[in-house]
Amino acid sequence: MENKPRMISGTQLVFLLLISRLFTLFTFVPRARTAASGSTALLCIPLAGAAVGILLIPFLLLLRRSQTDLLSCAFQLGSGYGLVVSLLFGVFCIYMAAFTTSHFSFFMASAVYPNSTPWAFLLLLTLAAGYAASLGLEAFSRMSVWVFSLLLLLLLLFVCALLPEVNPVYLTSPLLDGLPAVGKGIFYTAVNHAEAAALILLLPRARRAGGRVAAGWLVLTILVYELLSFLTLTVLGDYAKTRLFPLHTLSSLAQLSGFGRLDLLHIALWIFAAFLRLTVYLYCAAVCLRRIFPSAAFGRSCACCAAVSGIWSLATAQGMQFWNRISEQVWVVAAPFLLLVAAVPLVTLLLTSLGRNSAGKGRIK
Amino acid sequence: MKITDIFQRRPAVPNSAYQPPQPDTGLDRKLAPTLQQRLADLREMVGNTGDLIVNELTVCGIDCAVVMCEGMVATAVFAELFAEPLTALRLDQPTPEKLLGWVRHQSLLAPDQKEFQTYGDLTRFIMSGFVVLLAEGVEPGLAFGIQGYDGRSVSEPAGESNERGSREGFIEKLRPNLALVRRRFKSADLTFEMVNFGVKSRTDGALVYLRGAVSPELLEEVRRRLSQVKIDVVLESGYLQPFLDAKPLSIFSGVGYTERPDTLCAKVSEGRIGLLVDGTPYALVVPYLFNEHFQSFDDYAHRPYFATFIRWLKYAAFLFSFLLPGLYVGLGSFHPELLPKNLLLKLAQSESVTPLPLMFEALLIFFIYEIMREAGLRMPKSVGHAVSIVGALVIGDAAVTAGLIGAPMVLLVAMTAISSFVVPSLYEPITLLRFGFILIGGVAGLFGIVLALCAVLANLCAVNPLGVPATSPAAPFSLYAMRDVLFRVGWKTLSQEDLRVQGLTGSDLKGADVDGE
Repeated sequence: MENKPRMISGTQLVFLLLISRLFTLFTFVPRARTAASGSTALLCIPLAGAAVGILLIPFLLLLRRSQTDLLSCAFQLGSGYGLVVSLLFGVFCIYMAAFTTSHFSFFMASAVYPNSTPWAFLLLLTLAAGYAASLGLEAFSRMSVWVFSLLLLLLLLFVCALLPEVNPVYLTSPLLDGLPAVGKGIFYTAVNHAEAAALILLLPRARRAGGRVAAGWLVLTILVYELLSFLTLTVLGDYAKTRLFPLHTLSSLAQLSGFGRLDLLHIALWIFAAFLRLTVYLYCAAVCLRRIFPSAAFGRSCACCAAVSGIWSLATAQGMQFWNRISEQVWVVAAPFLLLVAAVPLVTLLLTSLGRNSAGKGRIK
Repeated sequence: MKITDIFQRRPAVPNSAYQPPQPDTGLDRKLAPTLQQRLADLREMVGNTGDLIVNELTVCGIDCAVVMCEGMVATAVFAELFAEPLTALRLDQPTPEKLLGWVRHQSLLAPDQKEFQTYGDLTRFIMSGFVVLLAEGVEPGLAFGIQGYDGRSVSEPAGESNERGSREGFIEKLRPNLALVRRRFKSADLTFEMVNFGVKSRTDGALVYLRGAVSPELLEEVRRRLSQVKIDVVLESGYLQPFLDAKPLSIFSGVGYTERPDTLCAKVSEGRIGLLVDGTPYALVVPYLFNEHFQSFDDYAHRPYFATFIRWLKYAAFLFSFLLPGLYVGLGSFHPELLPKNLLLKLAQSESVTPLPLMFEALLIFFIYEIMREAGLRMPKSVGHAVSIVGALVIGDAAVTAGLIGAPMVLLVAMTAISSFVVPSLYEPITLLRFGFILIGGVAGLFGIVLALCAVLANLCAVNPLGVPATSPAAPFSLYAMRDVLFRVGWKTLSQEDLRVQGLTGSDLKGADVDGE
């Protein structure tokens, strides 16, 4: 057999990134969140999705031209540039992994197991995700299909259970706070699409055309976000702003006669989402690490990334002050996003094009 | 030591107590020119073993020897078809060449007749029950297949019974097994490729595949993997399974097995490869998908709606069998508020009198159950019934009456135990997972159970038997192939297009099995 990595289907990647993105919605803490809320959010979500799509264009052009991944392109331009790009992506992925673990363990320790400390959740989640990442992209991307089925089931039950509770009176004009608020909301929501960085690393492994996968991911994310935001807004109204985890509150309210409360299903989906998200980022971080140390065994790279992420989140999970401070500093979130999703692919594209042009001219001469 | 060295794989440290199997030397040696030398060499090679029969005789004035293994030849057939014509033979001006010509072209001493040149083949034929004729001046040895050792006759497969299909199952002897398959599949494309395993045991085996349906890459890969088998003794096909499994440490295997010839025929027609090994009444099947554990031969004999219902029942039973005890322990210990009120009251009432926490109660009772199952399996049938009675009394009545175990737990064990036998081929992973889920449910509650489920799912999804995803056609999704997974459509639809494993979405027979970056 050939020693080349196996490809995954575009649909699997869409599901994987969708579930990973949904985690942010699950951990939506109104007081800490700087993104748009209320009816404005309903308008900002699709516009932010479109903005992310535009930001991804340089990367998609690069992918079409070079037929290889961004890190390989960067290394072709120079080993120094390649190392810097790999390091940037690697650090970002570990940061996102630590963010995911901390937020998840905070949710578990505050909403599901109120009398426990977060470190046990953190440890178990990091162990499980590190193991899954070491199994390879195929394993957890296939798993995303099952989790997506669970998500569909939950959405269906949510809609069935909450439809009678929907109160349109909570819907106000999205432009009520003015256009600057909408613009701010779009910006905040867009820079929270951290999965775009994972998309850049994983898209070359998908069989389907890159543009379609990216579009599919953004459209599906917008649809699910819109639906869940609409339900939260119209069922909970202003009460949502007082809750730590509005979606969890919503699931506790959702009751179907035959099924009882839906929070069991919701917690299960949340754990699945956290697991998949952490696995995605640990995998991506391990991929970057292997680009920096090509002789490293993949399993050990995953273990190393999981250990770093685990220590980071262990140091910051208690009290969440670190993460809350970061959430308040918009540019701390926005700068890495814009750098990795827009700037690096754009610079790489330009350098690659310039390199090709000069090589072409050289040949003519 | 460099910092990057910690990422490197360490080379295996050799252990002087264990040595890799060494092939017998001298097996490739050519037969000696004289008959007496050949017989002396043979006796030396087999250590003058007691079951070696050497009859020296003269045929038309030429010194010959008939060599066989005691108890492995059909004596009546030997006397009638072999000994009688040979002793009655009269050749005009006999020479060794004429004798060889007569055996080759003018006689039929056995339906299966072979020539060989080496001592390796000589011993292999004798040990396989062939009658060997060695003659002075005749260079090749002659082997005649008139085996007649005792063995179990074809009977109903014990582990894969069915309602409407055939009652024939594989037996321990290889040749009758091949005939069982051939009888059902009269296609000229059906091929039995004879193979040999075990450096010392040299156990016979046969690869079964359908030319035209099987992928050449798949066949080549199976041959390559089997050629890497360096075991001294192969007594069972299970010895070979790890060599065919891409991830031997995975909970789930990508290699299936069946004791039904009709099932093997069905698998082979879908481009899979079967492996029959002498001495094993099971055929290994590669690649084997996870959903195939839930298919049975009856599914295709029943009406589609009923087959679909049964299949869903099996999926539910599988989930029950490993998840239910852990979920019960997890919910009961950490999240009782998630249970319906009436159920919670009943459970609390029965558990209030038991001294052990739910997790230990569940572990204890399942541990006892596994002991009883193992005892019932290994003991003589007559004693096995006694074990069942004692078990039923101990677990079902005495433990509950004594207040050691709650009645709901007994009900749970009964349900789980029965459910686990609905999909017998998954019994091994089910048992291990059940204990694992009870432990994690008792320690970490629902969080632990879902997280463990994530790890198990990832483990399952990572299985790629020979480049075909084990979770296919569900993930990667293939709508057309789902016609025989979640539901079983009618034969009119099924017969419209044949399924080929290599054609399933995500199949990449040329790709690497182990996913890295």
